[in-house]
Amino acid sequence: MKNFKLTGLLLASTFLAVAQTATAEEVTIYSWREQEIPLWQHISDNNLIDGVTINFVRLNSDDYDTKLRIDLQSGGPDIFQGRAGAAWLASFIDAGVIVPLEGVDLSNMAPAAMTAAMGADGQIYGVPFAIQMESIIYNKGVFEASGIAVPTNMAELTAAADALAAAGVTPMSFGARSGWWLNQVVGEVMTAGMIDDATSQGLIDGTVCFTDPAFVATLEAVAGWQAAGYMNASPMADDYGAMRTAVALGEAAMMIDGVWSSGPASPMYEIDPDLVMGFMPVPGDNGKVYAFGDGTYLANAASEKADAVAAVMAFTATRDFAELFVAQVGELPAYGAEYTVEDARLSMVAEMIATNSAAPTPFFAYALNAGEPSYGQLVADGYQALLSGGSTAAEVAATIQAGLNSWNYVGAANCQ
Amino acid sequence: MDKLFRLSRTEQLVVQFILIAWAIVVLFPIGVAVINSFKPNLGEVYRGPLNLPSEWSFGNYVEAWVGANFGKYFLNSVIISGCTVVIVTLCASTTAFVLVRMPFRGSAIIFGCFMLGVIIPIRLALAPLFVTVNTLGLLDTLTGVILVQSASMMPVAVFIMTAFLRSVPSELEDAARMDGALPFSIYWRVVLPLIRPAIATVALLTFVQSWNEYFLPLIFLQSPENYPITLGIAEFRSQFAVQWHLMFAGILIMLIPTIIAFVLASRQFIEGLTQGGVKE
Amino acid sequence: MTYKQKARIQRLALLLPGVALYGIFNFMPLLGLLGLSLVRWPGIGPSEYVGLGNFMQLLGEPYYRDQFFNALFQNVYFFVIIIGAMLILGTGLALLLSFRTWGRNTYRAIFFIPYPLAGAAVAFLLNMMVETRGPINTLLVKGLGVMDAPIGFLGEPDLALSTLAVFYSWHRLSFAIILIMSAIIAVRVHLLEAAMLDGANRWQTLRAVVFPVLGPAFILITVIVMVDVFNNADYTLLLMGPEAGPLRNTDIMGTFLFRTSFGGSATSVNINFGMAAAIGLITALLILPAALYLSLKNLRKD
Repeated sequence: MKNFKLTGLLLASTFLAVAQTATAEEVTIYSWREQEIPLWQHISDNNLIDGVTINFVRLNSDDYDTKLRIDLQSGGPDIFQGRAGAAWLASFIDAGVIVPLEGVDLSNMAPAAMTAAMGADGQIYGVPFAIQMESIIYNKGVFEASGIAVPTNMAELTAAADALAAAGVTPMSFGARSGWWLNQVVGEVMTAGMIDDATSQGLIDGTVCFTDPAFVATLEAVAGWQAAGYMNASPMADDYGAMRTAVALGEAAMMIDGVWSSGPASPMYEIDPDLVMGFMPVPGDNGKVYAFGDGTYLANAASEKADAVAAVMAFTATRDFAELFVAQVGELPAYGAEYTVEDARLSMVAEMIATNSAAPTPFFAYALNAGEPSYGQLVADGYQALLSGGSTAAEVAATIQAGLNSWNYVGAANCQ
Repeated sequence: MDKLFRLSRTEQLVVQFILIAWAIVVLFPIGVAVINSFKPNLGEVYRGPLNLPSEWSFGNYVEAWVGANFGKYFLNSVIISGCTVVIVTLCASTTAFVLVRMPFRGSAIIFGCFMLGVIIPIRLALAPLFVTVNTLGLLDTLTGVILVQSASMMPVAVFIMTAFLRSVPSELEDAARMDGALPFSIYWRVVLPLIRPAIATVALLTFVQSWNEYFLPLIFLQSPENYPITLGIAEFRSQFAVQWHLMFAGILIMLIPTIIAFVLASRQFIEGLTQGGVKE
Repeated sequence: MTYKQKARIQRLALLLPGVALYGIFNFMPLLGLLGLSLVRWPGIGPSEYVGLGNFMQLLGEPYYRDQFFNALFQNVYFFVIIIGAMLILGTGLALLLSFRTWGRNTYRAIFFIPYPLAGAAVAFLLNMMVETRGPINTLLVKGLGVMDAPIGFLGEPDLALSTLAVFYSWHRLSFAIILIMSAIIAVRVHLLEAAMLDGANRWQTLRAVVFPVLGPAFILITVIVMVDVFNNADYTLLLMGPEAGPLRNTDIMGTFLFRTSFGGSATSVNINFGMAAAIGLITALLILPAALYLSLKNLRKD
């Protein structure tokens, strides 16, 4: 009798143990974001997703696309991060690597982030992560030293720039050597600040042309800053890093940049540990900042660990994950509903995003980037032409329009 | 020959002047890298790249070693580079020997095929190469990386070897053949010592390229246990910035074996040239 | 077995390893490149057969064609500066190092140091040198007072490409020095002694005996550098990005290939490995005549 009980107990516990270890699956995630390493380490170590351990593989951003595609040919990761935009997702959708997301409750995600996960067919293919904000970032210390208040319109911006220039500070730092910054940050922040949402949306839909004065005005503003001497002497010689260094050192006051530069890992704090940064939109007619979902968590349809993968994907859409994201990554998650943000800087940014961000995102719009030359390419080239004195604002706008027309984008018929 | 190349005092001074000038051009950026590798944080690097560090942080080297997992990866790098060098020097020299000294009907075509490999870098054909390696089951193995790297350096190695071999007279080999020696022993006993400078050159170039190879290991390796140190250093590149103080420390650590290789190769070089078939 | 038979077998055995290794892991994939250039393939999923479509797009559409020829001409310019520097400076330094110069071994080792540095490190290191707040500009503007404003070495459309060429030369000069030195030192002693007996002085001896022997070394360097320069664009991609600014003035075949095949910006749809293969093949075709000519010259010289 006793033997039976003992054996029974033994058997039961063995079964349980085996069952436990059998369900502890390792899910491999590919990413280019080193800032998420502590997050997933925490999740894995504390078993926050039951029975799942995470193998987080971080690849260099430059190599990410190539390595990801190659590895997917021989199995590849179970989950991988995708860059924002339907254009990027297109080839993966066509290859059948990702399928429309099912079984995850996305009702709480911020609407601004959802475009990051949307394919060209309008379906959602993954769970978006990280909302980034782009705007003008200014060195608060420099502003205070020159007694400057945050400008609320373009006239005040000009006045502030004059005061700063007089004090020997470069008002606006530009790192025009970095093409990705020109189209993804400058172009978008200028449109968000100066063009009203309806017109911006029109640019994407093709009902408004890029030769429209509203768009040309964004280019003229930048050209104007350069002409008035508000920029660093040779914006074409300075790259993104040099731009941030100038602001961190206090040699420049403002720059157009993303909120990631104010994150805990930003090298700007290593240059000046007492640096305090503020955010403001380009104070144009629209006066809004620019927000977008940075990317998506995508499940590899060919993964053998479907259950574990589904569990992870579902977890990334929860409030717990959102709060962990803030704590471990120092960025805003794509979660839209209520959650606690203890960091003062991040809650201010969240506030700005919620109340004052532009809705349309031309840079990520599939309609503008479906062909070559893409909108992104044209804007980068355009700004470089503008800042090296090669073209006027009107000419740049015309070139952008012509480039888009050449592959018959949605507004080609309207904007010859 | 040295008799001819002795310099008078004035000539010596002029020559020294020129050489020191170029040495400065070479060493100045290196010096900047060294200085910055001792800075305690990235901020100091950005703030004043030329300034001396506020405190000499030897800890950077420790952190680079640990953070980039040098300890683990160093062995992998040594294995990969070492094997690649041996394979390439052996195979290139035997191939060159056959193509130059024992030509046959198809040898010109074979040489042409190698030349094609000189012109077209393997990076373009990554996709077909990946299929090959995967099919052979060599993915994520050191063997696979070694074979791929060796193959990628074969064309240039064969090119250098054949060029060198052509400029060396074949009298010694003909004599050996007349004595009835077979190709193996001709190669091993006569040719190899003759082409020591070329071997040293090819070995050095192959070693440096293999040691610094980043892309091929990136694609063909997946488990971190197999990573060479080039992949470990990539840890210091974040999305928008590079941890320069650590990166420079890592790069300077990586530099040391290549300098050692250079010194070794130089010695072989000179020795090989002063013996061998140069004196007639 | 007769000597002839044994010799044949041994010859095969000597040839086989190299040829097999190269054949399987390099040559066969290169042949695959031909097939790859005929499709449109984003790296995963199905590939779409387009025949000569990639080539037509490249040479037919003005948008691509203009960029292609611009990149090509700039690449030639880039190459000429580099090879000029490497051959002229390289020969000069190699000669100086082959004399009985004091400390020549040390100099040789010092000059070698840039060569094994990774391309990324060199790019950023030298970028630091030529920045607007870097040492060269500080020297020119503040130290010597020669200029009023810093020179944007990488920002000026006219200077950027030349600056990158200088970067490359700084990095790879040692390669030329090593090869030229090996050629100089390999000069046959008896030829030199014969020249000296004829009463020639140093310069005449050099010209008559040493310089002709440099031919193969020069050819070697030229071919290898040519291939590297026309196919890779590591510095440019790192420092100027795929758009190869300013205004495409630093666009060379490597950046053109990257931009056209993998997209210039993160949202580019047209990732096309087939296009990369097509451009690679065209580049190879373009430098093939020069490479062939040079190596045939090498062949005949004996």
